[in-house]
Amino acid sequence: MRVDGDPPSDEVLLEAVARGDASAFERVYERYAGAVYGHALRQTGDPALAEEALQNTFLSVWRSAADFRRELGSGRVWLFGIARHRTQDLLRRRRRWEIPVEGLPERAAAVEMGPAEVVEGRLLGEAVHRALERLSPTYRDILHLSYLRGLSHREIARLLDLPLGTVKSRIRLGLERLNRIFWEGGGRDGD
Amino acid sequence: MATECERFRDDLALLAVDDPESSPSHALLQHVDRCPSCRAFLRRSRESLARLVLEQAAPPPPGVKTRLMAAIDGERRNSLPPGAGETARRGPSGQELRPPSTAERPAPRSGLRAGWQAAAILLLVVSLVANGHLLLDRRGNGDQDALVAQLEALQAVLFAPDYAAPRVFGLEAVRPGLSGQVAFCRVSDDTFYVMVASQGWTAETSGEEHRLWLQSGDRLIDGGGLTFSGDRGLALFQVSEPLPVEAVRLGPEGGSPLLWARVQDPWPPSGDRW
Repeated sequence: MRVDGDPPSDEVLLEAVARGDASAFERVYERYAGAVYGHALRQTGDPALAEEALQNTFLSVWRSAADFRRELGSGRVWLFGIARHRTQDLLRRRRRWEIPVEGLPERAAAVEMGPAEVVEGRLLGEAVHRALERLSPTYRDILHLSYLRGLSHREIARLLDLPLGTVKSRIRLGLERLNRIFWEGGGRDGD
Repeated sequence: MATECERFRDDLALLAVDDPESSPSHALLQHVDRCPSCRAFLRRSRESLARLVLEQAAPPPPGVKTRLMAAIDGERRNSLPPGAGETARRGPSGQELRPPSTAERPAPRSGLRAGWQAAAILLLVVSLVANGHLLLDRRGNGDQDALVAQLEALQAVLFAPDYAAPRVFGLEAVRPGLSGQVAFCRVSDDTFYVMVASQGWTAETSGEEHRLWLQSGDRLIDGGGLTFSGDRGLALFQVSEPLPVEAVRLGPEGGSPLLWARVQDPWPPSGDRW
């Protein structure tokens, strides 16, 4: 339940952005720029490319906020969908598929967020971390390759030398387990 | 015998992870519409995956926010509402932009065809002269018909059966009822356009953004999202040189195209400007 003084939900902010509210846009940026940039950085391995993805993502958010429909999913899902597409656009153009796994920056310092948002972010981060630890490596790896690195199931099948059907069923089973952990195992619900 | 949910469950998972090589089938989307349990799985899975992205957070570089705020401030001063840049389905206050009703459209009488085409071409030429480039009027100002009229005009040009220049190629479709045309235009020695018009599907058909893609050698070039007016789509892509384009396709990112064409030597020669 939301009480007065709680930060506005992503959905409320995106609806305000759709009406041209620049301060709501700024708030969305402060809330998710770190996640979008970190995701792009891990996908591209290139800080300059990740910065471009970050900028393109939020320009798209500003320009297409009127397309957001809360009945189709949360604001976060919508925004990360844009972020993944913008990052993959850049990767496709630059053909940069080498992805380093070390030397990445530390987690974002949420310097511009309000205290409630900082606490909420930390709790969520911890919940995600715990969830991933409870997922077996088989499913953790396949979801990582599929969703976070943006590889197709065919590419994963080639990479892991697995039949296509196995990859598809592992993606499904991984999602089922992840959902069970988040939604039936005490994970915090989204906005 | 497998239930319908069991038949679709692996494809549903691919839809949830937004697999770049899978385009959801019509049957799958229909099933999701009908089945609350699969719809809930899809929604929960997407929420769970979004949380994984949060885990990857890193400090964003300084300066991006300042540049973004300046950019959106510039767009606001130019009266471009949010939502106008990437799609024209909604106006400044979020109201739906719809094409004119049948009663509002010009009657398809052959006597009017030439005149209407001429008006459409004149509109495009005026737009080119006035702006230096093609510009869809998305400012709205309460007059949604301005945008719709431009879309209709471009559509009329590209779908006119006797329209030969700039070079126009028909697009092949994955199913009956879809159609499309692509035109390659040389406006000046350093301004070239690829214009694509589609008919027969709407932005909401598959719930995904549909884009224009150009194949040039081993490069796949993103030509931008389609602007929709009802079941008519349009994409304009400007380049500064005649790219050696070999194929054109319209469809979701990474998925199977709904419309496509192979093209050979598509650009008009240098003396054949438009």
